Amino acid sequence: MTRRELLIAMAAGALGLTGPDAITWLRVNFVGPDLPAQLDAIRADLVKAGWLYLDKHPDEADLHRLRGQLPPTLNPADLHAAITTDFVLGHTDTLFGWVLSVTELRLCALVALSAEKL
Amino acid sequence: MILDGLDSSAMPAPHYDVCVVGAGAAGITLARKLATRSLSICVLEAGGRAFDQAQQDIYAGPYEGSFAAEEFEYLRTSRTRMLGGTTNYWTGYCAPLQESCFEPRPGIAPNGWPIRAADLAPYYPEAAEILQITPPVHDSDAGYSESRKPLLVHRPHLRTLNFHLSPPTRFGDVYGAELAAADNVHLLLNTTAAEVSMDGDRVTAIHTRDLAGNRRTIGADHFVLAAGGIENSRLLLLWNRAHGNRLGNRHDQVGRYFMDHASVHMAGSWFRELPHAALNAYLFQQFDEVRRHHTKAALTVSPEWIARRGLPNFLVHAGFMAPGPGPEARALISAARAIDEMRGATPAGSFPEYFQLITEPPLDADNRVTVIDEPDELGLPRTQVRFRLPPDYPDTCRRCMRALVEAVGAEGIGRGRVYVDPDMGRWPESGQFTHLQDHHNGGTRMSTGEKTGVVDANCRVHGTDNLHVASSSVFTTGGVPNPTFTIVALTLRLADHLVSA
Repeated sequence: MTRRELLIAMAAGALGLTGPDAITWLRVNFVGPDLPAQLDAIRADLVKAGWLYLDKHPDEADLHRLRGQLPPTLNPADLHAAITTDFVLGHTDTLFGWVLSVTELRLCALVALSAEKL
Repeated sequence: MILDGLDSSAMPAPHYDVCVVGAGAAGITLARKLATRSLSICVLEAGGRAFDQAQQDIYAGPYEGSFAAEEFEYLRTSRTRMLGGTTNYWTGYCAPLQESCFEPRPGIAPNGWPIRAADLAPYYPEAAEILQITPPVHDSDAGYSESRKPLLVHRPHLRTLNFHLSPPTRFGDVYGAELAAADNVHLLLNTTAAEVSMDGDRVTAIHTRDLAGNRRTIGADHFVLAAGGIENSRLLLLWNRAHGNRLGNRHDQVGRYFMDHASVHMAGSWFRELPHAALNAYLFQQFDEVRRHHTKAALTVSPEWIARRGLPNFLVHAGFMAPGPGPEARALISAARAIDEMRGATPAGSFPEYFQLITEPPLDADNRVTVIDEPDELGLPRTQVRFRLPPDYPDTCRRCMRALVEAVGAEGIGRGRVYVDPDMGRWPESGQFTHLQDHHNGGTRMSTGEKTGVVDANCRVHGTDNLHVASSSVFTTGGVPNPTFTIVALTLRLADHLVSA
């Protein structure tokens, strides 16, 4: 098992608990209450996606750096605007052939790193 | 009246108002249109009423280019030498040439056409009727039944290109009887326009050959070359040999800028929010209850995206093929789907499929129709075609597909992947993912002057008074839609010009 797989497994295990999870942790300790509630439902996939991104960009594995590259507020409207702009301007990354916006990938990475902190 | 050139007793008149070379979509459209003006018309068709392998073999010739598999068959199998021409095997896909195709575009088409889309637009409705489809045919919600209203038409980033499907019209079958019944039309089958006589800048007669050894001379006030995208160039090259390149070739332009549409399978995507019934418009040919013909939708991006990214025009046809995503991709899709849900879309399930990409053909003066010394069965030099895709073609395709999937993401309706198989390192030469669409464009392209093309804005051959060309060989750029619809529209415009002349 690689380090990343171990971390993913640990994160997934942690996320399956009823106690604090990565999204809650992010909300309370790092981002604020704007982080959309919808993300709670798929946090395990967010963590996996985030690690796929960090695996390709290990230099971005830093909570403060990632947060600085995301919109100041992470409410749905601001995220929507940022993601749309990413696609229009070609600010995208390709993972397994799939083209995603860097904002949504960094959001995933933020969740992944938060899970690691738990 | 229909005459068989192989019959030595068949005697056409010595002189006509108009002599048309070729009885395909362009030649038959022109003859029918001019016949209503009480003009006398002779149509010379190289093939017969039915397919004949001996006639078809006359088309054989060498091919040089990016598609090794086409080396020996492209010229013989990508067109049809018989009454109705290549409409005998076309697929019937009709869509107007996009406006941007006519405009000058740096890096894509520096000069553009000498006419604009607006010059051709009035002729598309009649062309639609000839091709047995119901106008309007420009992208619009107007005229569609609610269940078939195309999606994405008004999206800011994506566009739908609607193809209207002709039955498809086989011109020989559908219009042959009409020509046979017309007293002022003589359709001479199995007859090849081998040479021309000239008086100054005027063509005065065409001299014919056939497989029975008959020779005839046809005089006319006006001559129209409508023999198809490749044969028009070949005949002009042959005729120029005897006339010092006076027929549009003083600057070595005849045959140059030959184009065909290459297609490649290289992407997949999934959509969300859209109901499956509506997505079917992109997957299947569907009957439109209002228009009473079938339609099929293709996707592209907005003109602003095309211009901003310096892309050629392109479209994609969707279909089912791609395997489901692996575990890693499933996590990515799940994450993106949730994020899109947060953005305000309504989830509706996944939609894996492949995309067939068709790009606007590159403009390359070295892609050309030429003639070689080897004679065909009529003793005329055979044709050779060179059509090579540029070295950056794979990169162009990837950029187009990336633009498409990024536009899908910008719309918030899904995500896409640009599929690159390991074998595609050898494409397009491998032929595994790419093939030509047999859309022969260019060779006698339209231009403002004889240094950059062969015919003027009215399809008159530069340097001549009374020789015109009708067919996709006059296309200055190829666009992405199938060419037949625009061939017919251009021919109707030429008919108006000839009548006014």
